Formats: sequence, C-alpha cells, structure tokens
Amino acid sequence: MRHRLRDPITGLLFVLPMLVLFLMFRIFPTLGAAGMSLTNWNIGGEWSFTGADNYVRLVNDPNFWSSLRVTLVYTAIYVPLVVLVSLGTALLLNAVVFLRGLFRGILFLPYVTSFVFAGIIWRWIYEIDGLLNGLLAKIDIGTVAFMERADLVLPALAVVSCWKGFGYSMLILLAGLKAIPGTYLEAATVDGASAWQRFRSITLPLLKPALFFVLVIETISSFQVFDTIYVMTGGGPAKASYTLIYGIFERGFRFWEFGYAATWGMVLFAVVLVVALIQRRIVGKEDT
Amino acid sequence: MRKATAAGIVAAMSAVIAGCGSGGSGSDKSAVTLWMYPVISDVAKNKTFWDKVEKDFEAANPTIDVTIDQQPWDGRQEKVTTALASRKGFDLVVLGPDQIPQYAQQGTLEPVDDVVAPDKAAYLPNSLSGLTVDGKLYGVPIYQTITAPIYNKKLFEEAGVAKAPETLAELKEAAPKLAAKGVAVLDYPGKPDALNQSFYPILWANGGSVFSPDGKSVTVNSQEGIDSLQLLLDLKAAGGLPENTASKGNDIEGGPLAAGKTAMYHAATALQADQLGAAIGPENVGIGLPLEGKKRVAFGIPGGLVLAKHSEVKDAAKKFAGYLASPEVAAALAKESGFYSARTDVTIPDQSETSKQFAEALEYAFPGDTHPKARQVMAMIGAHVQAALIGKEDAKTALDAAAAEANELLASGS
Repeated sequence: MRHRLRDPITGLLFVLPMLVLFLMFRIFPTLGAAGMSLTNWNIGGEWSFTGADNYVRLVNDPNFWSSLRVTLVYTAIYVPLVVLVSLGTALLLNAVVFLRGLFRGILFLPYVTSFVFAGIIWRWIYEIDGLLNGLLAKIDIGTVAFMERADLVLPALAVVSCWKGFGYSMLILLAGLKAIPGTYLEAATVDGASAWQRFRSITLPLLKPALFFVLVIETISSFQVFDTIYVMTGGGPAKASYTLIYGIFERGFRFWEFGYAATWGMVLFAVVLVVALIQRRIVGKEDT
Repeated sequence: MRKATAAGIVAAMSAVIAGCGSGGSGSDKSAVTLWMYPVISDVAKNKTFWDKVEKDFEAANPTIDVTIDQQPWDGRQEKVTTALASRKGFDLVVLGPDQIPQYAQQGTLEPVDDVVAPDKAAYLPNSLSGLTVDGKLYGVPIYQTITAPIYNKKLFEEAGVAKAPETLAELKEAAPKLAAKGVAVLDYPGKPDALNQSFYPILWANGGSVFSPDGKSVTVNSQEGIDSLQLLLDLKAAGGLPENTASKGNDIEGGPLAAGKTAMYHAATALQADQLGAAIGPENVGIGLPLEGKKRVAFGIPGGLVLAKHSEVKDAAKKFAGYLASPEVAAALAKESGFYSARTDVTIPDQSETSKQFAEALEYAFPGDTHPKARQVMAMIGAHVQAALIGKEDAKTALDAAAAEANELLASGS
C-alpha cells in the first residue's frame, strides 16, 4: 500500500520542476494574455475591463486580415521549402560515407547563428548592389529589387528563414532515416528496384512520422516568424511582409496597446492550436 | 543542534535573498541610473566624456551613486517601453519630443519643471515647448539637434548644374540632368519608420502638417501633403531617386550617397556630413539651408532627459539632470557630440566648420508634429508613402488611405 502511494508522488516530484516552469512561462502568461485581451491595458499598468471590444475591433481591422493573409502566404511558401531542403540534405548526409559529422556540423551551423546577424547578412545579399544582383548581372539578368517588390519579398524572406532553420529539421529527418532498417533497402535493390522506387515505396512511408513532426514544428515556426522581418523589411514594402507576429509587436511595443496586442496574440494562439490539433489527428491516425 | 543548523540555514538564505534585492539596499547612497545613447559617435570619446561626467558629479554629490548605461539607438523605443512597463531599467533616459507625449499621457513620466525653473529664460524656447505636454515639462533639454541638406558638389558640377538646389522646385529641375549622368538627385530614405528625416521635412516645407491644430485629426492628405508625395513620385519617374528608395535607410556609410550614385540628402545631420566627407573628400561636400517650398523648415529636436515615474530616487535623479543641463556640461557635450546646446548662455569651444554651417539652419528648427499618437500615425503614413514609391498607389490614394487609418485610430481613443 505504502509502495503504491509513493509511486505517483515520486513521479510528480520528478516532473515538478518542468511542471512549475511550464506553468510559470507557458500556461500563466497565456491565461494572463487572455485576460489582458479583454482590457485596454497600457504601459503605465492602468486598465479597465472592455469586454469583447478588442475582438470586435480586430474583426473590423483591415490590418489584421491583411497580416493573416500575409502569414498564410508566407507559411505556404516556407513550409514546403524547408521540408524539401531538410529532406534533401538529410538524404545527402545519409548517403555520405566520409566526414559525415563534419558535413552535419557545417549544415547545422546556420541554425545556431543569430537571426539578427543572419538578417543583416541576407539584407546585404539581396541589396540592389548586393551579392545576388552581382551574380544575376553576370548572367545578363537585370537587377532585381528583392526587398522592394511586394511579390518577391515573402519568397525572399522564406529563403532566409529556410537557410536559418533547416538544420534542426534535417537532424530529425536524418534520425528518421537511420531508423529505417537497411535490410529493406538491400532487399529492394536485389529485387531490381530503382533509387526512386526505393525512396518512394520504402523510405518515404517509413519516414512519415518524422516528416509529420517536421511539418508541425515548421508550420508553427512559420506562424511565429518575426526576427527576419524586423531586421530586413520592417513589415514592408507597403505591408507586404506584415505578419501576425509583427502586428502584435507593433501594437504592443510601438503603439503601446497591450490589450489589443494580446487580442491579436490570442487569435494567433487559436490558429496555431487548430493547426496543431489537425496535425495531431493526422499523426494519430498514422500511428494506429 | 538540528535547530541551530536550521536557524543558520534560514539566516544564510535570508542574507542571500536580501542580496538578490535592489542594489541600493543596505547603502546610504541614492542609486541613479541614466540610459544614454551614443550622442558622441566616437566610442572612445563617448566613454571618456561620460566617465568624467559621472566622476565629477559623484565627487560633488557623495550621497548619489550614478550609473550611466550606454544604450544603442536601435530599438530605443521598444526598450524604453519595456522598461517603463516593467518599472525597471532606468531613472533617467534621453527622449525626443515625438516620443514623450504618449509616455506622459500614459502616466509613466514625472514632470521636471522644477529642474529648469532657476534658469528657464536661458533655454531656447523651442527646446522647452517641444518637451512640454499639457503645460508640464517632461524633459530637461541637454542638447539640440539640427538637420540640413548635404550635397556632393562634384556630381552637380559634372551634370552641368551650376548651383545645388536650394528649393524644392530646383530639386525637381535638377533631377533629369543628373539622371542623364546615371545619378539620382535625392538620396531619399523610404524606410517607413523615420519620416522626420525623409517625407515630413518636404511636407513641412510645402506648408503642410501631419495633424490638425487641435490634434483631433490627421491632415497629411491635404493638398500640401499630396504635392509633397507627388514631388517624390515625379523625382522617381525622372530617375531622381535611387532604385531601392522605398526600402533604404539614411545610412551614409556604405550607401549610394557615399558611393557617388546619389547627389544630395535633404535632412542630414552634421555627423552624416562628416561621413560623406570621409567617403568623397571634404572639399566635395556642400552644406545648405533647408530646401525651400512655401517656407524653410529643418527637423531639429532637443534631447530631453526624462524622469521615470517609477523612479524611487526622484530627487537625486533631478539633481543629476540639473547637472547635465548646466552650461559647463552642455558646452562640453555640444563640443564632443557636434550637436548644439539647448541653452543660449553657452559658448561652444572649438566648434568645427561643419558644425558652424549646420548652426545656420537652427533658426528653421522644428521639433516635428508632437502628438501622443505621433509614432503610430507615422507608421501608418510611412507604409502608404512606401506603397506609393513602389508604384502600388498614387499620391492621393496613398495619403487618403493613411489619413483614414490614422483618423480611425485617433477617433478610437485607444
């Protein structure tokens, strides 16, 4: 009896530090933001309850809808791009025999680079007189103002985020590839399957759980893109890269409307939650 | 024994916890923290200057312990907002006239009328009025800035333009001549967060303003505003603006002006004139009066030391602010920074030739359209000016849309 009683308590003690941190830095701030979204909180800490006013304002705010559209377009560009690059590099690394650790380290380097530095470097690359336009000039293509064109700025930013973030997903997919028994592939090779057939019929199906995980985390990270935009475009040109997170930042720290910024935050939370739940449902089905 | 051990542990922990508290506890000194920005661009000179200020003040005021925390200009507003919201970080900070009204309106700043009261007549009237909100002074002016046009004289000569533009009309006239030589006449920085040194000076010169006199609506879409934006669009069409004008900032070093691809910048600081001189040779740099439209206006602001409401050492902080605004410190700061004194009873020693030329624009100094929502409205206008510059909107559509957004914000009262 005593033994039974101690087990859950011991278990709780083990998870307690993480639980406390999770409550303090995730759950309580989320609840606080939910409460704040129902007020007109200002930087002096003064507030009054405004009910659903902020939510009504948000529904009628064209900036919110345009930033939601920008965020969704960015996600639609970034997620396939980063998944393809991560998968490609993971497959390459898996095939490399020599110095695999070195190559893995090199490919992972951008992930540990500061987003701000990466943004500054990539801004130079995209400049009118920058590296990319210099290369384009070599092949007789005129200069392209990547940061000036509303149709090019989101793909350009997605490339920067992809360069910065693919390393983490690559490692997850590499681990997934390592978990695939070599005998399956060897048997298929003996049976005369081509490289593409082996990839499509063996590697890809067995990699699905890892791929879905990558899809979820990259989708969430695309909804939270901020640093690159802050450093490179400031939401421009003409709000063409003005995402939900940038809108939250501007309302909170430039316009000092913390209550309204929290409202934007709650909507972003809801969007990410719905996406995660859909994803979880799909992954759950795959597991059964 | 166990009780004694427990008591010892409690005592030790109490000491540790007490140590984690305010740095001022346990000391008789009042600890004042000032957030200062690199107003002296030379890092070594900046450090030497502020170290001396701190040392001299503390020697004369042994009960006050001053910390001068050097902050970068980048992200200033976000950091100040965070500090005020969390009631931590600084007692004193340097802010400009367009930043102070909203912080004051939100009740986060302490009035400082009593600091300047003894020498009030000695301050430039504009420097005090620019830092005043609802009749209360919220900033102690410690310096005054000014902007003026800077030119690459050689490029104008090569294009056959004998005299660099002194008016907006002459600017437009010169554009095609320079464009024929592959040079954009105006180094216009279209990045939307600093209109005080890009679009607004043109708007003010044309007789326009951002807000109505009662501050209840935005008037940027007046005819003066439309004419101002149309001028930029005309310049762009004539090849008079750099290709990346909509997104570029106003950095001189590494920018098109230093590279000889643009010919002038209409709202430069004295430091930027020096930077241009370093790039193209000081003999090729011209400094003019603010470009004239219906009038001449130069963006120039007082740097105001503001006191946080949350400060627990207000008296000590005010004493330090008074010291920084004194004629001796103001003169030394003006000499080292290249800025100007906000006082009329100060003589700046060994002023450089560049500083003297910029000083001629001081009589046209305007601290900008101060309003509690000035920064929010600037972000809205900036985005639409940018939209016009990339060809998405025409001048009237852009400014009408900006005014509609801004008026909605002002009407919401949020």
